[in-house]
Amino acid sequence: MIELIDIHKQFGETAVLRGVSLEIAKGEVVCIIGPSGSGKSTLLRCINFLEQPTSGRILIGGAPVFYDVDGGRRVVHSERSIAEVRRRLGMVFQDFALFPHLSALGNVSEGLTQGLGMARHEATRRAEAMLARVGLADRADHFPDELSGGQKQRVAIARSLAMSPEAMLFDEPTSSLDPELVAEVLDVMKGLRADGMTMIIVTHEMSFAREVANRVLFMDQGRILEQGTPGQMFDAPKNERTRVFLSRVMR
Amino acid sequence: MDLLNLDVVREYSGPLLQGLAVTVMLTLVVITLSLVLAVPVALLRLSPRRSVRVVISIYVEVIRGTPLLLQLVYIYYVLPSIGLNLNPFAAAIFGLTLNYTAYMSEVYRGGIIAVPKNQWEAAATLGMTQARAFRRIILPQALRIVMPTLGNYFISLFKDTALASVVTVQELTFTGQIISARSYQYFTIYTLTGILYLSVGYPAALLVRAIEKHARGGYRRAKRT
Repeated sequence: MIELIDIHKQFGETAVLRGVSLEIAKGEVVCIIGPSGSGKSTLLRCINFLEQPTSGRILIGGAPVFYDVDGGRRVVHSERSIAEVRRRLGMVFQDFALFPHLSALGNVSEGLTQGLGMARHEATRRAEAMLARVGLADRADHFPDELSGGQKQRVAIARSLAMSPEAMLFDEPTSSLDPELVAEVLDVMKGLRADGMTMIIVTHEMSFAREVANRVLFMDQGRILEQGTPGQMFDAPKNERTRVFLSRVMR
Repeated sequence: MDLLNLDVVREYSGPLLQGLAVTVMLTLVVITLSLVLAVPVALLRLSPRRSVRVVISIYVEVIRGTPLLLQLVYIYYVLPSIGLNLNPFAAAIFGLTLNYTAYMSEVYRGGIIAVPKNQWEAAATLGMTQARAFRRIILPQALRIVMPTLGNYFISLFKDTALASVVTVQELTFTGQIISARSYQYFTIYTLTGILYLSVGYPAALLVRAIEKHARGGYRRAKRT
């Protein structure tokens, strides 16, 4: 349902992505691993156009999104049409990016009222249900500053989930968390997998990737060097650099 | 020697209070206009279009680089020669608003930039347009950041309205000047004038301090007892 075709991304002189092609099926859970600076997060951010690819194409449900390439010239879609596509893709950030001036409930309902145009009372009901789903029904009136890191990230997941996205993008969702708070976030994500959510997860949690992923991608220097099932990737990596990376992180 | 002449106080407190009323009104009108107008000016200065940024920064730098007193005089005495006649009160409101909008737009600009980029991004991923993200997510946080600074501008505007006297607005200072020149009771009149400024300015400063304290407190649930 998500297709990336030969994505390149250049930041000034630096080539961060150097020709990444990737197809993700509905219901698939793809974990992207690799050393820092390998382009994992940039790739994820290209999918919802938080970063504009320098070249390449993005298709969702078979249709090109965000821009058309017309004889080598790029025509970026209207802001409204970009917003509509983004609504279909949930995003969870490493640093939560909760709205500090809104309560947990407000954080979750904000996208419903301001992004989807849902009526307030309906949005509130839905937000309450979403908070309950991530186990935070009793924290609805708390502000982000009053929540632990794990709770914040669960609110952020509820915020994305409330929009009924077709897929969810996770950008190192547990990297800012104290070790003892990682599990509660991963548990919520496992729940999503069980519900059939399509997920693309940039992560350093190898055991989690092994457990939930249908497919693991190893990225290095802006390219996908190797991909396969968790079994193939973790037990019998073929690429030398994959092996070196895994031996460093799997001590 | 009776420096503070109570008879004089009694005789002239009426006109002086009237002057104070003009000062307060001028302050409230100008602060309201500037608080609102400075937001679009700040946004224009952050515009992706260079030409827009240049125009706005010329405006801001001209205002910041010249005395407010000169700006008021210029508006009142020079603009009529190009056919723009303003009565004293309108000229004062126009000049003070032009000036305070420029300064406050820079404050807003700082506040808007200080909101983390991920707030824009999170709003975008929820399908909000930029305009909506600004209104709902960025502006409320920026306001919280700039509130203490804006509060101080409010206090200084209250005192700067005295400059409106040069364009013959009969606010408190000008009223004091007129009366003391007529009655020769300089000490009494100017002391009273000062006391009147203080009687509004000091409570206002206390209020601003309370707002600052509130703004520093972060976002929390309302305390229930």
